Amino acid sequence: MLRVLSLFLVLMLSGVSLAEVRVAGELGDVVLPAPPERVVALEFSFVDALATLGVSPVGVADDGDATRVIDPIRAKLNEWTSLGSRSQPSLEVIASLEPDLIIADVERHAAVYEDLQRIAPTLILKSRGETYEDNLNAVMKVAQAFGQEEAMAERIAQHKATMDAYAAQVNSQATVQFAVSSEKGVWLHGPRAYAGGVIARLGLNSPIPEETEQAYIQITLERLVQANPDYFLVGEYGDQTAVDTYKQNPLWSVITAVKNDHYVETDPRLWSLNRGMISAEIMAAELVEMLGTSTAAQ
Amino acid sequence: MTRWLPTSVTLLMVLLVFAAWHLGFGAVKISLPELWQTLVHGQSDYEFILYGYRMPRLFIAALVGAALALSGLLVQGVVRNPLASPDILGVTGGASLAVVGFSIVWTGASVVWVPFVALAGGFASLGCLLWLARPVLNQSASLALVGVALSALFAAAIDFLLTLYPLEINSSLIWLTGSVWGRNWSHLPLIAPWLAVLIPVAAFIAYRLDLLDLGDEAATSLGTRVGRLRLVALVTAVALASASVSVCGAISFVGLVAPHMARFLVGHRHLPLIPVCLLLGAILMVSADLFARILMPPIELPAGIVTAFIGAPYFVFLITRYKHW
Amino acid sequence: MTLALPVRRTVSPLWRIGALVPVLLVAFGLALTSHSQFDLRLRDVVTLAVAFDPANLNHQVIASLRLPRALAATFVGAALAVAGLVMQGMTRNPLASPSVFGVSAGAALAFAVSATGLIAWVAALPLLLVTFCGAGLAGVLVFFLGGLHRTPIHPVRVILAGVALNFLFLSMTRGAVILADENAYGVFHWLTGSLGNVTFDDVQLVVPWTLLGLAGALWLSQPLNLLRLGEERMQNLGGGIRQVRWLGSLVVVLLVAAAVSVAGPIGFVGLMVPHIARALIGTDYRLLVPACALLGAILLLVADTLARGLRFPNDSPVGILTTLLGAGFFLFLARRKTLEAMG
Repeated sequence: MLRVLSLFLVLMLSGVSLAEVRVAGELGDVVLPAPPERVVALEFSFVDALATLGVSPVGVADDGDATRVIDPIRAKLNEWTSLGSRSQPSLEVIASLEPDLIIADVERHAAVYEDLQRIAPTLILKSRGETYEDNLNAVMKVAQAFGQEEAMAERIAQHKATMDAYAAQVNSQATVQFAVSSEKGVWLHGPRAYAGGVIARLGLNSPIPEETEQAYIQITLERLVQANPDYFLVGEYGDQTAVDTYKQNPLWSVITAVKNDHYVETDPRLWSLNRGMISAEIMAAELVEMLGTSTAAQ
Repeated sequence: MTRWLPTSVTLLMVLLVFAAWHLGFGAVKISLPELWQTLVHGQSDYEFILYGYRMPRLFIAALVGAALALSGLLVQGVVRNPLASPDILGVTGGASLAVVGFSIVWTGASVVWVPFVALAGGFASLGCLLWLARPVLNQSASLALVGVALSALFAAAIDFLLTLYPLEINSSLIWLTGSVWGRNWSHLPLIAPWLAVLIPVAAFIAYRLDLLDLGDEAATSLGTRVGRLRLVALVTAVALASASVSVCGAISFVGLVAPHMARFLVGHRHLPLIPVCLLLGAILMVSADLFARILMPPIELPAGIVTAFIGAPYFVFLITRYKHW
Repeated sequence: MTLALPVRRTVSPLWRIGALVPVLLVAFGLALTSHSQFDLRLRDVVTLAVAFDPANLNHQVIASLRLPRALAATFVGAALAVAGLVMQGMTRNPLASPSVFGVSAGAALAFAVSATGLIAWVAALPLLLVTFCGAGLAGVLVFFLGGLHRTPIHPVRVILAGVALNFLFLSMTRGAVILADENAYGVFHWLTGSLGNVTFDDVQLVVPWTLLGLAGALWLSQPLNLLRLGEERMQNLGGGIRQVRWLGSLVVVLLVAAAVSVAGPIGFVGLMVPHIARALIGTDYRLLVPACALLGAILLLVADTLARGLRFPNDSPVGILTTLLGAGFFLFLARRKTLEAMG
């Protein structure tokens, strides 16, 4: 890690060029005369990307709660000003921060793209509903804005190596499923979702490979039993959620994951909210731990 | 007749106070002297926020509120019931359904099209209403009934679509509740011309709407073409409501509460009611957008939520006060 | 004094009610076995009833997942249908129903506030209490706003009051949902009414209260018959209109609260079923109450089965089907009523 940081430092110092940078966004290109210093991020996946680059955003749309960003990412960054909700960030706070670059989500913020551009150059990328691969592409574009393509390419290569290493450690054909549980429902994150993508990246299978259209699938216990994952991770929003009612049903213990004690409750912020390389590596580590213990026991 | 002038002036003062509050407050506070300086002398740190952000929002909120209020006034005149509103005619439902359907079918489409789709949807739903209720346009109860059924059908269709295509839920929900967030000067031409044209139309038919209050036979004997009058009033109301929905989404209760409050203030004659209604609608929307921004900064609520919460205590007030039907 | 109430001349209405029972059983059986990747058969239901085998996966699925869901559909359907019947009887308005009049929406708002945790102390209360208060509050508002506490009632006023309140609660519920962005998916689907995650606890909640409500409705059937003749005649005959309205409202709120707590605000069942029942049975409330209960159960069972098949193998909330069908029915009724009014 220190090596990477020092590499960044060298590259950043040498990267102070007078050439302007042009990055292609989803709705249009953004032109930056110099590497931006004051950056504003309107989605969590961009915060992950910025943390990887070692850039602290001055403002983040964090739904009013900075703790929504997981600790490992927050630890790398300075405190930021909250911009409000991700769906309706406060344009005036953004303007008052006088940023050099705004990174926005094409799904949520397309409507205000022009307004944002009037405040500062805006890079609008995919975020909500993105797949694992989409995220890596978006991260690369963020790096381009800072003139850090080579550093980022190296970091991505490192990430790929890390993930490959995890995949080798796992070496399993087991089916793994992540779900989010709230008071009135359980939502599986299918192969199209980010969590599903990370799972696939490690060479693991999805119990519902046919679900290629929607990313998030609401289920009943019957569907879950049919899917019958070998490993089941759930992120709970709240104390008493739908999955707790599932546990009281005799069919719960029929699920392979439960039978073999491969049911794990994890952090929904990590698996669902914060999408990015840092999160993906932590997610992969969790998966290796889960699957590692079983292979060790065997 | 004599009451409306002082009432209107007072309301105008109230509107200006709320406007100043709206311009000054938010996630970034601008104090009154700084506000004055920016407006008059035109330069300060807050120029972008004021001119680029709050001012257009203020104007749009005021115009949309005024349009909705006037639309509500006309609907209540046609349906002859103060609990009626543009929503019950199915206008907001039809416009919303059009937008949801459009965003599902053309997922990548630019948001530029949304206002026009909403407008088309509003008029299409009027078409449906007229086709279904043509024979009974002159019977307010029946008209209201068909309108209610139509809006229920649209709402059901929206729920159906959102269930089948869940990724649209978050953005659709915000649009369906109505919000002034992200509206800027470019949205002004979507609402201002409609008001410019339709306020005079409303003023023109105001006297005849008063006659309608006397009852259909009385009105007809006084020379009013009752059927045609209702049609004109309906089309005007729908145009105003559709234009509002196309700019801000489906905002609730302004079209219900504003005309009612106006009647309480200046009586039942339509001509004096029009300016009072417009002002009240503007005040309601401006204050709703204001509170939406200052309640939990920097989180901005959709203004439609605030109008719904204003509607709640107002209903309680209605229960205790309203006597005759 | 006996009143000669109109009775169908052909098959006795009692037989017709009786005929509904086997239909209910068929619908129940369908609900237990249809649309499953487990290949459930009626044979499994029979063997399960005879000798339950915990190791048999099919038995387990039927017993612990399908059975509570079907039972809930039965009682929720019955509750909503009878609530609609009582509302239509009390207001003498064929378009009255818990979803149109905002009673379901009031309960749903209470639920949304509780589920999203927006007001902490509300979230701590038991769910049925919360929805009961929500439905009760809506009922009170419609009662007064619609002028039900006075005689005579104006039908339009009641409808518009109900619709306005429904819209109010719906907007507020949407507001609560938007504020809780992360949970938006879950609550939104619940808001359309769903039986997907029903457990035996829910069944235990809905059954006794529904039965209590049905008993209340049966008790009210004769007064409602009298009310049908007209309010003045009822008063002349010594009936207490005020008491009928109060008790009727209580019954409606109870039935709706029980239904909404378990399944969310399923719409229009209370609108459609009484009309179908009237077409089959006639206008005697003593017969209409059981008929509505049976028909409501059948309707919801069939709708839930169809909803399961919509995006198989994924579940769809049953509410979207009832609402789509019901809104169309509502429109048809409204149009027919307006054409009738023209003479």
